Amino acid sequence: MEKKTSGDAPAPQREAEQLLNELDRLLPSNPTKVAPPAETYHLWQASQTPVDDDTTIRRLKKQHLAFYVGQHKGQGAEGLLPPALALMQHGQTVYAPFPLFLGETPDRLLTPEALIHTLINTAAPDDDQREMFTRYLAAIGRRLTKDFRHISEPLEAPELIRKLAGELLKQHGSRNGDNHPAIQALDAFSRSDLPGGTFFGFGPHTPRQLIPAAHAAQWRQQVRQALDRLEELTLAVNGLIENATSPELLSQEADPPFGDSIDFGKLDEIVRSVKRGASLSAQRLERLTIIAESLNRWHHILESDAHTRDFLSRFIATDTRANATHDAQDEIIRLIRDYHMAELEVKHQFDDAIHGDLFRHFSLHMLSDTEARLIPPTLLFIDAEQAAEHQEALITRLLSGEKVKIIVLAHTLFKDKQLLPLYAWARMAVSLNRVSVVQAPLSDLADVWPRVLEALAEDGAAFFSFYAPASRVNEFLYSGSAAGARFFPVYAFSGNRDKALCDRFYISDTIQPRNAWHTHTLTVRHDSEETTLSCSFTAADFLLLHPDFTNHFYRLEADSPRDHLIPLAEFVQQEDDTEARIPYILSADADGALHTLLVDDFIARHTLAIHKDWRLLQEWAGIDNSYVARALRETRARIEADAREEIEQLKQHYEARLREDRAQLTEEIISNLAAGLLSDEMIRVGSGMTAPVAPPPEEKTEADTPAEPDPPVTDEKEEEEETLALEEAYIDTPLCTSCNECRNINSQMFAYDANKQAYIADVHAGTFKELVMAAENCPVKIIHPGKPVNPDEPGLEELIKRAEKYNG
Amino acid sequence: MFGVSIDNILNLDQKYYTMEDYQSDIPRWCPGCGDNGILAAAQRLLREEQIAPEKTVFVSGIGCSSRFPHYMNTYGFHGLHGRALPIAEGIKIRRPDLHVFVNMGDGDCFSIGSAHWIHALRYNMNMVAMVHDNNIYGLTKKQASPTTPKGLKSNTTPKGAILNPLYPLCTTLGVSNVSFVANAVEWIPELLYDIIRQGFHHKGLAFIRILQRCPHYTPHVFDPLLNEPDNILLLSHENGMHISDPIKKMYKNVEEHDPSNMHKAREYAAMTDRIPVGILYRNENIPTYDDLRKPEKPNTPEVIHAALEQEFDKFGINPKTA
Repeated sequence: MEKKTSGDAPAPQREAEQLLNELDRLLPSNPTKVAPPAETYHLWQASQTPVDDDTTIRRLKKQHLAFYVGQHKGQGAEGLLPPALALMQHGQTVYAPFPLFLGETPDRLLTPEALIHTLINTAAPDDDQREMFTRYLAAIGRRLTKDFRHISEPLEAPELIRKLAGELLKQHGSRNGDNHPAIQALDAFSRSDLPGGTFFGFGPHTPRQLIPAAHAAQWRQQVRQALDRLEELTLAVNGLIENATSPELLSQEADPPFGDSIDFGKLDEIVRSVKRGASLSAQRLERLTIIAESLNRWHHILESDAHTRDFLSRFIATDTRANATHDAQDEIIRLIRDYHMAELEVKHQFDDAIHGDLFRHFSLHMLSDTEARLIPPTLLFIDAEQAAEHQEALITRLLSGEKVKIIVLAHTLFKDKQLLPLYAWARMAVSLNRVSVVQAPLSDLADVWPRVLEALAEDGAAFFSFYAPASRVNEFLYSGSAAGARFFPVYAFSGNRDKALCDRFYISDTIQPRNAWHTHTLTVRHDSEETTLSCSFTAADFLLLHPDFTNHFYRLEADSPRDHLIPLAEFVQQEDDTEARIPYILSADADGALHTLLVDDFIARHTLAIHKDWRLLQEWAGIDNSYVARALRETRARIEADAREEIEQLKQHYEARLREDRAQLTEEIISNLAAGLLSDEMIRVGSGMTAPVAPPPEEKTEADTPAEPDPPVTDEKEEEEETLALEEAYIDTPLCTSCNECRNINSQMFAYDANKQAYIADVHAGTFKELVMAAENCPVKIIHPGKPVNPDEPGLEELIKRAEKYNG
Repeated sequence: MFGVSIDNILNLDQKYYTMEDYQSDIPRWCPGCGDNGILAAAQRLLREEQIAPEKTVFVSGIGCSSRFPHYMNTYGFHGLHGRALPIAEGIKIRRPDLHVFVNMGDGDCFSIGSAHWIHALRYNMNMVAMVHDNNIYGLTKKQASPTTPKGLKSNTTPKGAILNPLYPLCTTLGVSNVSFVANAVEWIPELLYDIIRQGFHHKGLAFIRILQRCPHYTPHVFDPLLNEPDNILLLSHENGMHISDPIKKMYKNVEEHDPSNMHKAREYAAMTDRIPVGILYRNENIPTYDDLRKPEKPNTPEVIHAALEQEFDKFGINPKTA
């Protein structure tokens, strides 16, 4: 209607209409009516009714079997995702552990979410502003993960955070006014001292940037500790040189400063002293200059992380720089030599005759252990394809005893349909038993970071295997899946042979090391009901993500029978395969509907292989170790056998005694009976109407008692508890009209629930009298005082009588 | 294996409002007053619907019930005697983005405010009107109100009220354009909440009369209902109230009533032996005045801001002439 009139209406009216339309769009059309929340992504399963026609069943089963053995192509599984992953992919939340924040000390590697938490905890203002402030910081965190997760160059963290906070401030300040407390807090925050550090983005470059940076910081710290006198020595040596060359200093040392007038005598002295200084020893001065240069070089290197990183970049091995690494190593040895010379020089103990030769032939072998450790390891970055080509060379280097840290980064785990040997290399490196190994997808890097640092700092070789997939579903989810499906488990192994084997292993908790597969508990809706489903993320689930394997999955017909199927996770664990059943996994489509996917023999075999590998790893790490289990089993069997033997002996012993007693008792009874019958009284009674009856056979009770403890005792107790429960005070909370009457009497005893309806919070917080008063005052009579909890309260009898009315 | 995202951990996209967020002051009503239950139901409604306090207005007239806005941590307007409805209408027409609730007493609405009451029903604006009917003027210490039962002694009727009381439900159902009429009692909190909730979701004026005990001045007036649950008649229907089993156990009188049936509704409204509780009438198709007379420029903060900016611009100084 509005459109019709707008054509010929006068301009102001048109404008007004336009404005109105715009406002209509801004405002909800009927604000009192809350729109139902948009249906969020959830898993659901349509109800299924299997066919009961025998021929169809037979045909379907045959078809499934044909698929399993590879004679029938799968229908494909495009668009299907494992349920757990589908929830993450289609759900609202975005999971992105990047950009990583590396603090000033290298041991702080934080995901954005951890960083934001730290910031909130350190910088959050008072309680009333805290929430708003936290929200702003969370917004900053979201910006970080959204726009900066793929940065190709490291960015300085404080500047970036300050910039984002500034933008947020501008945006929200205009809306809420500058005086809003949270805005002020944000303002103060953006100007405060933020923790120093650097952000690193996700990509093939990540390890190349992150590891040298961490290594540089670590090494710098180490050098500073080892050469703790460096500062002092540098000052002293520079002082010596200046002494030898600077006339002014000499003159100042000689006498207190003189006034304006020129003292010619003093001048003459100075000139002479300079000459003397120069003649001190040209050789020594030269030596000192060299030493000073070396020490200054140290200072330059250690000045900042950036300088250290530049220096250490010569230890990153590439083909073209093989010699450079060697030279750099020599330089460090030279620098250490000069440091030692400086120590002697400063004490004026350097004697060329004694020390000259030694220092001229100074080499690696003359370094102390601590000093030898200062020579940084060679970092070798290669990608998985290169590594596959040069496998032997890799092993040789790992075994050479050389300090080398090999960092392998894979972009894919497959070459065509073959699994790359990356997985095996890490395991092989473990089996060498003296190499530290860390394996993790980049998305879990923060988790294994302490192990990475440990491996970098250790003396021997180390092998790092990282995995950064090219974007597929979501690269983080995808790499997380590789870890959960055990294709690329997150683990570390320490090369330090002093520790026990299981202590040297570390399997990340994020992948549930004790389970065969990473298991999710998912909520699934059937019509209107919700059920939970425990879902294993198997290797097949991971293969499902890979487009090359879609033909190996078969989407099960909705009406198919299911008795011949078995979940894949159980399939790989069953010991005997006498009962031939076809394995399947679950998957979800874009609408959240669950589908059953049959997998074929190829997938099942791969899954089994991955499962076996994982079991091996678990055993190494001391989880469900089969040797331990066997030893336990044997020990238990032995103990049980011993116990059984003992029981048998005891039994025989007691049976023998029982037999003895029984014989003796029978004799006694007979003799008593005879005595009774023959007694005077019996004779008097004559007929024997009230004849005393012999006691019940005692042997029976005696035999029974040890076997059965008295059961009636427990029964009694239960009854007691039941009656107690009836005597407890309670309120019919749903009927409460929130009138506050009871809370006016005692606000400790009575409390409101989330719907502002009263319940008894603590019956001990007040007297029974108060309880009865509240019951009497309650306008809707829903307080039931029960029985008093304190039997010593005065006037109880009357109160109990008053309470009776409300206990019914 | 996937970790958790920031959104999951902090869950800060939306604040979750609790009952405390809607509570501003401790109510100063007498102990045992039924207004407390209505307050709790209103707060629970806002909590369940998660409506921001700043998007809500409670308007009241004069009386005990009209202290309501003081205890809600929302916008509020404590108006003049009987004038709550016109104020609420004014708010709604200029600020259609706000949720408007009106709380009146029986004296307030049915006596001095009766003209506004009738016309508010006819205007049928999108809001919820609750009448706290305790059959007496409580704040001014016991004077007879239009709903005071015949024979009740009060300060203005020392020998007992002479007239038959007004049947507000009948009156309401007689006005044209009426779109939602419900009767509630404050001492069944579950039903009270449900009725207010359905009124809130109704498009148009939801008129809810709530029988409310006054423990001080009319302590026994509802005794026939309180002591004899059979005197209460619950109206249930698939389009109306769904009554839970525990309630059915206590109040055995339940009848099926289709809220779209006006004739039946009028029958229930005129009942004197039993009190109907539930939705008597509902019709979503009646046009609302705020839709018919939508303002060209609602006074949302953005619009006010733009207008102010425009005004301020007039005071700009031209550097060339200065």
